[in-house]
Amino acid sequence: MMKGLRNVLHPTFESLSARADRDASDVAGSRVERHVARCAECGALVAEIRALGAAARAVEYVGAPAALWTRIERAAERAAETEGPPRETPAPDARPWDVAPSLRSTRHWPIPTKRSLARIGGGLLVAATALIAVVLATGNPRSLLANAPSRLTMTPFRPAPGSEVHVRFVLPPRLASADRLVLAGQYLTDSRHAPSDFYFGGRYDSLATLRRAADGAMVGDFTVPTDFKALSIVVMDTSGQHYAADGLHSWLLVGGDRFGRPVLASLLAALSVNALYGSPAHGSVLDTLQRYFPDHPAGFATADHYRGEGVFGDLLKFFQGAERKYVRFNRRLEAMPALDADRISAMIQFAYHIQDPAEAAKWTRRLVREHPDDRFALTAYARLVHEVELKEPPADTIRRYLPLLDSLLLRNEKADMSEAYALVQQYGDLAMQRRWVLEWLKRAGGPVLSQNFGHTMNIDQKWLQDAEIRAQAATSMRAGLASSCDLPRWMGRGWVPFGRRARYCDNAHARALASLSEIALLDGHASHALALADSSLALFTVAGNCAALPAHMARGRVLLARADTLAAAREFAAGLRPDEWHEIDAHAAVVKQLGASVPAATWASLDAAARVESSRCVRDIARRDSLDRRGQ
Amino acid sequence: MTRPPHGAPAPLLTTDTGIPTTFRACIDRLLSSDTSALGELFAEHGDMVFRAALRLTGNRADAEDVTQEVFVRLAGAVRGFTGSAAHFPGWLRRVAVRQALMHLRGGRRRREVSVDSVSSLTMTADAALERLSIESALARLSDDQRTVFLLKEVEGYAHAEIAELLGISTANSEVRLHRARRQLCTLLRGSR
Repeated sequence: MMKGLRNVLHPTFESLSARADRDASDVAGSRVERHVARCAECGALVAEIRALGAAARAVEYVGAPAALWTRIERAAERAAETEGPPRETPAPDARPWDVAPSLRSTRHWPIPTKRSLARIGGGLLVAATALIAVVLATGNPRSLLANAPSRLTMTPFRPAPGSEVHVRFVLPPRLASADRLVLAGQYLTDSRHAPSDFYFGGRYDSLATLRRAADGAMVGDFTVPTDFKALSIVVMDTSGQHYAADGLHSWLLVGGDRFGRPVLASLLAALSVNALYGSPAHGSVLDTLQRYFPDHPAGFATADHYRGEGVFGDLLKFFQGAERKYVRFNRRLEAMPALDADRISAMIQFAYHIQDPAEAAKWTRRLVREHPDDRFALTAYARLVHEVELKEPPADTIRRYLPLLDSLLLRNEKADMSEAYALVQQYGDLAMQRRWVLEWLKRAGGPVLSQNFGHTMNIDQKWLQDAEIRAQAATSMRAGLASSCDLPRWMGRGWVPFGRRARYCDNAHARALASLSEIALLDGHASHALALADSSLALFTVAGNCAALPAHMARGRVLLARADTLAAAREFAAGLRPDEWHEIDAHAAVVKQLGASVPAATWASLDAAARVESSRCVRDIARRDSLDRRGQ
Repeated sequence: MTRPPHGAPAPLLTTDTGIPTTFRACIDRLLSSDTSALGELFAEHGDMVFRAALRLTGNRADAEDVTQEVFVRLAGAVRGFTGSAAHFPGWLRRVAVRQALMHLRGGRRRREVSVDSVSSLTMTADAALERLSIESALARLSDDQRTVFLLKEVEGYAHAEIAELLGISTANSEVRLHRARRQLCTLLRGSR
């Protein structure tokens, strides 16, 4: 249920991607536009998204091979011999060419006359009457099932904690020959925690092996834990390919009580996966919440339709807007002396859903006042401050909010500080900024290595001049080196071959070593820094990474510190390509930095040598991979 | 008909005698099964059709198949074309895109692939481990995502049109595009 609270400060990638498709005039005044106008990071991301399209359009493909015409000519002559010349007017029974030249379908129906219009009108009237009768008769036209309709069925439908679940998977054609599959899942335990979906790098572990049943379906069993609430599920084959409910969203299993009835905590946990928003599973969970827990705002906060009550309520729901629903909840909940954090958070979300930041601010203040220890209080308050920021007040106005952000940070060690961090770095004084950087590094720990390919410390370079921050950064990087290595989202989990996992982890470790080299150099230990950079480069080679940009940059910096400019330039040239569209700027910056000490002709020869070396490296790695595959 | 060498500027439509001919006259000759008219259209638009097909299929052999299919059946299809010569390249490009999509959907893709394609296929999982160009990053996307990305960004289709072409919903098209972009950003950043 935390959508809108997880990424409150910065718009989601999807919002920015959609923004990149539109003209500025189309989105003028929208929240995303106002944010992008003020946020350099998001502006850069929008520009990067647009650059992807420009780069794809700029790719030069070769033209048709010279021999192709001969082949076409022969085929055309053969076709003419077998089919005869095309007729000016196609025969009525002629099969239309399936490559339709127009995207609009051909009109096949006659122009209606007055009489036929009357018939059509009458028919529509009868159909509308029948539809209303069906709505009234059935009462609840939408499924109350909390699982998305799919090829995957689970029994019992709402398992109680600790119970056994039987799984049955009807195979899609592409898996027809599979003899076993793996059911992988991620338990959703907390409505206040927003785990990543499978596609976005969520930690999915094996639940059960599915084997072929007599009727051709794949079946398996597993037992849910005693604290079970909800489970996000995918099916994987032995190559690591995964199959989800609709190709975009995972399946969802939501727990119930021992009688199979829905449980509020389970439904709220099921809503915690942001990536499921808009999916059939998400809609079903909202439906169930609305039906069974109509007094809780969570079922309505992000819904697109609002269920009425009773037979006529279902009919009247067409006239029930989000704002009216919000007002009802607001009137009732506002008067209550104490509210749980879940309901307050849902009201914050509801207020943002109807685009009323003032109402959202009111509920945010209540969350902070009544539940300052809640892990989302900091994030929600950061959004409140950001809404103020969007009105472009004097910076001092924003600064008045910072002490409370500070206080909320200290209250909860698990609070997600990423949203508030940006505000503090922009408006806080140096002491506060520094305190937050140190806290950021302490909390990041292992994830510094496992996220963002491990080579970025996610802090402004200026802070690396601070010895204490460097020490904390080094501690975090070493903790990252010692921690388990997470795989990026496209590799999936569970069925990744060992070699592939090792290579990814070697790559991540190599980046961490390059970061440590940078820290050692700033600490004045040039020899140690060079050794770390060499280790980084060696590990990149083991990992099969012929670019090894961080290692070359680290070596270049050390050599520059030793005044060996030419050797440094060689390293920079090895790391950065002047012909790679996303490295052009960095290459130009290095050339500018070294200035006249490295002439243009020298750069040209260094760049050429780097290209040759890179090609040799790629060939060697390809040969090694080929031998490895044969060995397997 | 002799095809002009690669890189040469596209010629005006000419008859075998070298006399310039009008576009409509060329179409008329095509309708009367004159192969030389097809050759002229191929000389002028063959590269464009081939490139559109290659971009979507990612495979030269498939692109050749698609190009052949488009031109062999052009005589029949062109009867439905009522625009002027200026509109013909755009129309033909859409025909090529649609034919390429049918080729992909119909599972008629060639088994033989180029060395580059092989390396991109076998190294899919190790995307973080090498420097990527936009081209090789695109090769690492799933077919679904790459197709939507190319149709939107390169071919300029709207989501509603992509949805119709691929038989998916508009929302699905949007989601695929966002995910393709997200993955491309990650791939390209991670490869440095």
